[in-house]
Amino acid sequence: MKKFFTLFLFSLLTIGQAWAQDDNTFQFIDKDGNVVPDGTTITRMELVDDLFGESYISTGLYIKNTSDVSANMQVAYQIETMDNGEFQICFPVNCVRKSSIGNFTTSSGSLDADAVSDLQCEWFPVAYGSCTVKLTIEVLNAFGTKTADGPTVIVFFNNADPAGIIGTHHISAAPQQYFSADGHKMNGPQKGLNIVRLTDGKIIKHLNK
Amino acid sequence: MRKLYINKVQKWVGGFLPFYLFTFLPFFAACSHIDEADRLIYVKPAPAARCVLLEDFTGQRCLNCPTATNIVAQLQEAYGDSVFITVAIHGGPLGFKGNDKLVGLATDVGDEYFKHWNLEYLPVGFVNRHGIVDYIEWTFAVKEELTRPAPMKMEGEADIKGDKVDIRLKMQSTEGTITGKLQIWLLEDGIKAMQLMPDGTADSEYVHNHVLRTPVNGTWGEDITLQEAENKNTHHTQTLDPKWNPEQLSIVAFVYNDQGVQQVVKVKVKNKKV
Repeated sequence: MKKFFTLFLFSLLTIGQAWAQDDNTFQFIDKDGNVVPDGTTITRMELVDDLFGESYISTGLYIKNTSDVSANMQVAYQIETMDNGEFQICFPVNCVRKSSIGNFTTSSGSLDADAVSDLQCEWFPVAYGSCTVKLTIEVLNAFGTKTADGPTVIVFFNNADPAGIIGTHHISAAPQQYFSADGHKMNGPQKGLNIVRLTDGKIIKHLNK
Repeated sequence: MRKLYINKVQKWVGGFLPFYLFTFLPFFAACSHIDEADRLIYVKPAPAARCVLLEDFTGQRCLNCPTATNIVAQLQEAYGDSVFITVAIHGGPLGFKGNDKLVGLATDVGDEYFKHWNLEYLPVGFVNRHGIVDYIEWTFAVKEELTRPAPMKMEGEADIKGDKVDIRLKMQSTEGTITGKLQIWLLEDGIKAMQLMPDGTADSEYVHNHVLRTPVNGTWGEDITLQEAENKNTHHTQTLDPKWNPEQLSIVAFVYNDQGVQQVVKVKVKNKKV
């Protein structure tokens, strides 16, 4: 019975593994064509005027079809934290804006062999703060059914008030944990002073107005 | 004796004969045989030609919307803008209402439609209100809709009188009784306003056409019932906004119900000053 249970568990794990297996049909790349490897966390801070009276911080990411045939995909995006504003993605065929955290998926689309498409993915902050979004390319078959997960990238958008950062720290990693000024662990950033532990182990103080 | 007889005949001709003729002649007439083919029968109105309405939800901050607009232009070229009628509804989070520097085309009513239909992204649309259709499927949906017969006819006229647009519509059901809502919208063509483009750039000279400016008879229109073959005429007016170009206005009117848009018509607003 114990053996049967172990075998059953192993089968389940194998099925799960097959579902979550990596697929290299698509890659995230930057504007220079450099591959952004699976599992990378990138930080973006450059605020750009959108000419309509709003400003945004772009992921600066593109998606490339590395195969020699046209292939279908969609992007699953998890907005993990968003202090303010809205997250927007215009890929592959529609534009959508989200004002709350959660798990979402773009519409599906296809990319020709060796083609590159701008992900057109931005955070539109309305105040100082940050936003963390996990992006995963999902590979689809001809019927639009997901067949595999492609690479995942985490983007940490930081709209920092230069006067609000206590202690200079060049942010190169995403926030991992938040603590209040008196050291209590918090689920996310709060108004006022936040102590932030980053994924690279460094700790910074951040004033969230 | 002869005189008495003449008197009786005179009395009969002058008194009773007209009475009998008047009373019984219709019975004789009714008995006349009329060939079946010559009898007056109810003639059903001729079937109406189908026109298709595309409600194109769009926004100036939507990068992919110009791509959808190109599809609209192709459809208009293929079918003509009196058969394929499109209305650009600017609204939702990617719409832009303008500021002191830039012209905005989004309206509160556009936002209301966006929310009412639970739309989540742009560009997207409705083809004769048969559910949400992604723009990559518009061509197929329009083609399919044009094959369906229309149950009613619509025509209209609109012209500017003073500071108002005067709108007259004529409707006739050609297939049974139609109950629904009559919706009238005022549109404007040729508006130059900023638009984000698919490559991420912004085009400040982008020309926006068939932009919904305002509903004429309320956000959701007014109740209407059309009996078969009955002609119904309506009259509406809309006050002109100084921001609108009177040379570029048109009216789109349609009747819709739970089965979708029953018929739609587009008329150019005539400016008699020209």
